[in-house]
Amino acid sequence: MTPLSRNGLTRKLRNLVGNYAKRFVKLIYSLKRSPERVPLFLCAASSILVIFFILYSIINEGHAQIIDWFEHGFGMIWYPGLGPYGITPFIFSTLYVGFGGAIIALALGLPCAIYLTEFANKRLRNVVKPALEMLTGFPSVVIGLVGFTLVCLALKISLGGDSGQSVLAAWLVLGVMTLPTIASVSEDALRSVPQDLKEASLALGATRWQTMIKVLLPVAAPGIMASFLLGLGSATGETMAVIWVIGNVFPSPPITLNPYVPSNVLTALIANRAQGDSTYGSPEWNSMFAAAFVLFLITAIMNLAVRMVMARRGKESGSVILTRRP
Amino acid sequence: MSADNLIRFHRSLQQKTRRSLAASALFVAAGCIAASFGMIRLFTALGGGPLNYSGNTDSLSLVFAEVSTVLVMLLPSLFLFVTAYVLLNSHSLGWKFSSATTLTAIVLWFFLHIANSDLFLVIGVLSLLATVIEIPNIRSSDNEDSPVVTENLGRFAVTLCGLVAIGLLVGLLLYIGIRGAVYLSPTFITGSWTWPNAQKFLGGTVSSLGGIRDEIIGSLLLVSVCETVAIPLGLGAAIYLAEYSSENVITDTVRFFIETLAGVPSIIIGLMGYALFVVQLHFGYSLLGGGISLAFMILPWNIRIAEEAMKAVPQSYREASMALGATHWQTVRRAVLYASSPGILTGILLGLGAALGETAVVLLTGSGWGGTTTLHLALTGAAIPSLPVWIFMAPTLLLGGGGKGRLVEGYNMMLTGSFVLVVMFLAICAVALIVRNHLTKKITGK
Repeated sequence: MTPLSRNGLTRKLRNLVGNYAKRFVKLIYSLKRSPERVPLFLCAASSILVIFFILYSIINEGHAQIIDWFEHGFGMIWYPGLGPYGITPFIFSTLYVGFGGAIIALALGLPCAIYLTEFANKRLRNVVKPALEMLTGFPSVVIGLVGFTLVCLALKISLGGDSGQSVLAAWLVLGVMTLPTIASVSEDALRSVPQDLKEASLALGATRWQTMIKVLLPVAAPGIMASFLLGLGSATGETMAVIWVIGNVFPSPPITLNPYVPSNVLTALIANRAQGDSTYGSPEWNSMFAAAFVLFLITAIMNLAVRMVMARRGKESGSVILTRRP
Repeated sequence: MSADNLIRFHRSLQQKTRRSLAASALFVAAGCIAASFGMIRLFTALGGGPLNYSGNTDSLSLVFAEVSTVLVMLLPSLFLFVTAYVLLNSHSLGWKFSSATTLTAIVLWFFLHIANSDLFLVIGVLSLLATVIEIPNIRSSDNEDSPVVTENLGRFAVTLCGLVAIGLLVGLLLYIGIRGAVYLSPTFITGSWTWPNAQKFLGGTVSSLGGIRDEIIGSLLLVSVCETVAIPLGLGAAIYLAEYSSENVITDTVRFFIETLAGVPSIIIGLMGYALFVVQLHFGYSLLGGGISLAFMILPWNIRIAEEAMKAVPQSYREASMALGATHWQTVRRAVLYASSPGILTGILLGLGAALGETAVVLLTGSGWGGTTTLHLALTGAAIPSLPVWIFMAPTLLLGGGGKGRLVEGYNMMLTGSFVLVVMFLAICAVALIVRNHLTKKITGK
């Protein structure tokens, strides 16, 4: 090594240390100037604490079962009370139900958003848009009850079967439930497309429909994708709307693509088995925590996808406020 | 162009038009058949025909279910009429539409083994015929999607979907409103409700069910505990993220965790609350545990809306405040918070509405499954009654409580409970809207 490079290295090191020292001093000064920064940061960091609580309780209770699943496979049968506790069919139908519901909501919500942005008159839009934003928080237990007393009955009448409780009913219920989220966020995405792009297209002689399909939709695509993923996340994690209409099949819901069969999903499994005929700390409770861990992973992946989609979005698509039902 | 050519061209045009006419007539026929199936169904049902269902039904449910079934059944006929229009107006789009219809109908007929699936076969055969008739038109010179037809179709489809979506949500509210009003009475709201009494009611031995006063009060208490925790935390976090944070790793991490928390399903928050409050801290099912768990659930919502509201405050407000000699904190408190108060208040109220209707969290942390419904004013140690949980317990009560005799009344009363819940939710939404408009007017002076 030549002395020159050694000098370079030292200089780099000194700069590095100096930078950190400078930042530290700056931080101390800013803390002295505005001490309120500390409690405010703690408020912001409380979410980290909550996530930590969640992961801690899940892993503390469920680690044995999680390890068992990863070693011996996820199993096919959840026999209430006695075991074994396998969740493969539950994972399948959770995803099947979630995707179906979100796709139905997108199929209705995206045209609804297009209609509200381009073709609806202003007065209707001014009423419908805030209403959609409000309805994102609509009580899901009520939607479930309506699904049970109306959708299931209508399905039973028209398609036959025992009770009408099925994956199809869950799709319809979740579709209506996530519709406000998807419609309202897609509408935001479409509306935040810069006006000059649209005007340029119209000036070239394109019709409004061509402008919508060839200009507005491609530009707003990341926002619309994000709205779909948000809807997917809330459909997958929904408990109360689904538990009424899914049929709550034990011990092994069918793995089939036929939508008109009763089934069961992870959230409903947890809610059903938390009822108390097995006590806290028993293997079944621990397996419920393990099931919650799997559900957490599924929704976290969907959440990460939203982040990635929104990070890749071009500058011209403007800002979209992402709100979803909590 | 010679006269001969012209005549040939004219003839081919006539032929094409004739073919289109025939194809679209077939589709009109198919549409009529599909529609008549729906109408026949409706009249049989409403005329008290052979449709007789046992189980959890009464006449009102049946009417609603029938009407919605028929509305769904009318949709295919609408699509068939649209296809007829397309066939008349654009050759290139026409054959795409008709072959798509054929394929869908055949697939549905093949895979859906249900009553009325013959209808799909009829539609499939008719549309197949229409497609065959239309095929020679494909090779015609005007094989390009007509912009006018596309525009009309697009507008029509989008308007239809928009109105269907809005109609679904309005229908949901109407359904709750109409069915919920059946049992609504002053005693239902002011009275108190017990499980034994409800079981007697379902068994037909007593005439009065009692009311849901305790549940309403319990829900409101839960929501107030939740907001007491969530407002300071959420506001503080939002202020930090909007006003104090610089773009670095720590802020990114905090943001990441907030977004992750926003994506956690409520049942998992409920489980965590159960492990933490009910078991570890020995609260039992309690007001405090339920409220704090609810706060965890709506925290990301509050943070996000408040942060967006603060970011929307123009930079000039902050600069003006700083120029007058205010410190950063004073600027935030007096200028930014004031200017963003409409957005922040809306966010808080929306979170409140969402917390009010949340069931899974309260079920696992606040109320429990036992069905305890007496209100104890204690922070810990006593389960707190809650309206959404009460609504949710309906099947347990109805199917386990021996209430077969008055099942219909039981469901009606659960729907009445949801009616009360929805009215409370909508009232909060209305207050949020009014507050937002009023404050925006006051602050911006417009």
